[in-house]
Amino acid sequence: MLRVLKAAAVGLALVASAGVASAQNLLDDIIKRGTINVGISLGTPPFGLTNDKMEPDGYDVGLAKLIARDLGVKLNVVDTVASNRIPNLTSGKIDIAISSFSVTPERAKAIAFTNTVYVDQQVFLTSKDSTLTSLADLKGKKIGVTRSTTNDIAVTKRAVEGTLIQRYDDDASTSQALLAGQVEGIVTSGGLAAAFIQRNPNLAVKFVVASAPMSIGLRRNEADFMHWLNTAIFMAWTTGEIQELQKKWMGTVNTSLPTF
Amino acid sequence: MFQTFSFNHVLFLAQAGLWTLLLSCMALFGGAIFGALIMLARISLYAPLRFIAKAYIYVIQGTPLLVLLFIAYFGLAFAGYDVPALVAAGFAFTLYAAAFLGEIWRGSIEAIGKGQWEGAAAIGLNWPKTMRFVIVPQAVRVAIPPTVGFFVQLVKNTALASIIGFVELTRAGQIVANATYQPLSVYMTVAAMYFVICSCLSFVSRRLDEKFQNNGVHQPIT
Amino acid sequence: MFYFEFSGTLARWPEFVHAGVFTVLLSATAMLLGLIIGIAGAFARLSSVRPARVIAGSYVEIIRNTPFLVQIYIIYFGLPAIGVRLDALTAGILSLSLYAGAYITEIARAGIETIDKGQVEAARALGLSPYLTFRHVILKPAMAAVYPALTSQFILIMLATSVVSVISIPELTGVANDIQGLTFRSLEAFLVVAAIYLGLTAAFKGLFTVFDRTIFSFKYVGR
Repeated sequence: MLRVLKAAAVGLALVASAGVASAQNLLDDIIKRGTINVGISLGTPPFGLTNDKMEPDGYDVGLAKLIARDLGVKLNVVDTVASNRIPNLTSGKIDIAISSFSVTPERAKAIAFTNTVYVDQQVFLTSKDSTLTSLADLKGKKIGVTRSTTNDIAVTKRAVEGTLIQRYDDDASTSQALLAGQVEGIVTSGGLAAAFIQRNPNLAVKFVVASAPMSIGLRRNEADFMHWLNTAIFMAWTTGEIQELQKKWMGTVNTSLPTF
Repeated sequence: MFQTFSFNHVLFLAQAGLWTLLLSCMALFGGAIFGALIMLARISLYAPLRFIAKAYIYVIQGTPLLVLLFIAYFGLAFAGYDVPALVAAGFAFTLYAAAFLGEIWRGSIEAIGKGQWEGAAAIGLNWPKTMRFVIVPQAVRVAIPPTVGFFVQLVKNTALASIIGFVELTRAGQIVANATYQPLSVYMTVAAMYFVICSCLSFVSRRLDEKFQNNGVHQPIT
Repeated sequence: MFYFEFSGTLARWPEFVHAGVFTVLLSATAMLLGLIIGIAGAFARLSSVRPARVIAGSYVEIIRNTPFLVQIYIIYFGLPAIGVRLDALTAGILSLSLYAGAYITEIARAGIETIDKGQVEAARALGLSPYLTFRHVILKPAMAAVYPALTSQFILIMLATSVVSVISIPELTGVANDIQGLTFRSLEAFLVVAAIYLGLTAAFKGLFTVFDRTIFSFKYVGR
């Protein structure tokens, strides 16, 4: 079995090297192509959503529009569910992911992250009159989280034993599980929670699980494009455009954006 | 930001329904071409070909479509072919449809009596000519109703493409359900749209079945 | 350049084993419940009571003409809106069984239609009780007649369990999804589960052949 798999691997690797060889410099490619493919989950308000005109909208879409404008190319939004962000990047389906994408050292082994575009918190969102106010209270309770997101990683690491973590494929399913009462509460991003509470005043954030910077994800070994993206982020912060977007979608503005 | 489920959303869903149909048609078209090859290999006189076709059908029919979809979606891209989600999904559904159509059509060909082959041989027709002028024209009558029936399965199964993020009817339903917080009405609407498409197709399939069965050719059990 | 890296995925074999066992149990439950629903549905379809025929007929049409995924969404996310809240596992088993039941209704109906009315009358005339007549003269031969179609349907049910991962049920596909999220090796994780599903398909097929020989042994008498 292993030998067969190895043989198949070598075969596929040969095909793969032939296919990738043409891509030299992503920044030049995008400009030449005239479009940038940006992975955004449209089921994740306020980061990505579909507005009442049925167009993509939200904080991440706003950022993507800035990037496309500065590159002078057309924006192509590719709806990307959370668990597909890294596979879509590494497989070349998208050029960058602006999709409430938290930075983690594990992820940074697979893909590269730009400087921060938003500092988010992972919070526990539940009904207003819930008595669950700490991770210890969640023992024996069902809580929802979106599969392989930072929220998942944060709560899986910190939850006390006996917490029943239900994992859903994307934020749309997770939030529906909360609203349908299938789970006691969900661990989600602070921005998402704020948007929820605005729409549904019966919900409240009870405690913060962890806090995490979010940035734009791209493939590794694209130093040139990485530098361009960091430049664009720096300029958008300097001109106040990022703050404007944060105020519009999150209701709050970060005091500063960490860089590395 | 809070939206109520409105006519606009229904239009959005209907539009996504067109993507569902497009993906289904792509799968039917691709599956028909590839499925015909599988069928020919399956009835071939050459044993290795028969074995390959049989193994192919076994693997595809023994793996969940959802898993096939994931493999095709990530596998194609990792192999260096940068294609949009529609093409990746179309490719996965083509592989899937080919296995099933290949089997359905083999059954149809084999449903044609041995006497037809012998008769054709007696008047000196070779294999391709026998197939073209004698067997296939009769087998088509047998094959059409289950093929339309399988198309119903295809339309329904394209719902799984939503899980890899392709915006067809089901994914659109999820987006709308999340924006409106009225999942029951939204999914009922989505289900109703599928029902209209699929029950029309099912009806056509049954009518064709009745029509062709009157000709004395029996339906193979697929 | 792309290369396969199975070690991270294969190191998680205990999770695959656990999920595989879960998938088998889930499938077996759905097959059994689906069979019961299907047999009841078939008799309702053939009943002389019109409402029973209409209800069974609409049930079959609705389930067979809508996607399974949408049925799950309605049962799990939709029904709570009218006060019916089922946990993920119950919702998963219910939707799988309802889905299976609709297809098995049609298969079982075809089987029952093969039974000659004279057989039933003869059994009754010989003094067989209604229960024994039902069991030995109607049900068993009817199921024997459609056994191949029934077992292919069972395999399809096993494969359909992959879809319930979307409502957080930790069966094989869900676990593969969790593992790819941790290892970032999506293709490897799905290739491994595909292989497991193929193994399960083969195992179930083998099991059904054994069942055929034992339950419907009368088919092989004198051959």
